[in-house]
Amino acid sequence: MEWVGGLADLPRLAGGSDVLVIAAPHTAETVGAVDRRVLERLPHQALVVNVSRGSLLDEAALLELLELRRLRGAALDVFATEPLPAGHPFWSHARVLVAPHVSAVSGQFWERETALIVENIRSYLAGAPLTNLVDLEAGY
Amino acid sequence: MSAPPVSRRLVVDLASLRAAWRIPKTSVVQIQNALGAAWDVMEVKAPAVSDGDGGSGSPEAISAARGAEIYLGFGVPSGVAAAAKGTLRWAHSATAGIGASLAHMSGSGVLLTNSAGVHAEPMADWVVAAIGYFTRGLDRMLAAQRQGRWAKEDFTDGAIPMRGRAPRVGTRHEGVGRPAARRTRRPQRCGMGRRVGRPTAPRRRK
Repeated sequence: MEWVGGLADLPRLAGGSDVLVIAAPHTAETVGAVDRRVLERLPHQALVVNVSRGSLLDEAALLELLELRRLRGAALDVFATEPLPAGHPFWSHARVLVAPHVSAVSGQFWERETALIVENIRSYLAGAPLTNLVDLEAGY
Repeated sequence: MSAPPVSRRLVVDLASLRAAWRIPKTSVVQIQNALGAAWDVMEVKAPAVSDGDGGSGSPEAISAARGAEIYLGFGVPSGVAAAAKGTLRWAHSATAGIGASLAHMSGSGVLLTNSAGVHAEPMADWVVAAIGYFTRGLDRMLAAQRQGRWAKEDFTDGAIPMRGRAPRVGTRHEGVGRPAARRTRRPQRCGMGRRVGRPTAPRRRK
């Protein structure tokens, strides 16, 4: 790992990234986190990939920077409104890859999911710590 | 005459209409086996909403939740949380996102687990594929194909820049533990650089 930072470091991260991958959960803290200021710090011809939630990304600013050819393209699996409304500019944009919120689909999902549930059932019955416990205050 | 033993109940509310997310019978059997004979596993047959963070809960799910100790669903519908109030001890979401459940789960004292790490590997695959789609010009090739155009010059004469080195990938995620690390490990294996995250404490039941 090269370095670790928080939300305030996003512009720094963007400034040194050819590709910005958004994979954070939707929380009160992360909504709108990838805003125009962050997107404008990305190097010329950078890519934006979003597999998180559409609410984290300023879609209007992204579209504008794509139109200005500041950004090379965007691969979006999630959107502020889903399904993506008919006529939305993303549908017909040559440098936007639109995916219908399916990046997590896998033939191995239930194998992995069942293993997690069974592991947690055994922990629960034994009074041991549970894996993937959500911090309800933090929101993830 | 003694009263019949009161069994503990786990509710499985995972009958998604989408085949990829619908729980298979083999998984329900594994869950039953892990719990043992003292538990009643109630499988809700009514469709459950698996899109986003889950739905509002079917009447059948809400009915099954009354008296339940454990609930497995796509998020925790508010109706389910209300019906199981006082008995529910642990709820597990088969989604990674649980934002829609937070309002009625906060302060409930119920343990909530999610499936964040389960989705990490397929999502990482998708991210790598999406990066390659643009950096290797597949989008331009697809456009040329649709036009029936043999666009060799676009790529050999510099009209379309082709990346000659692995891109530096900045990743915004929460946590630097196992699930978060998985999402960035795949791009790194492909020679793509850095990652960044916000450190969090291990999330375990006390």
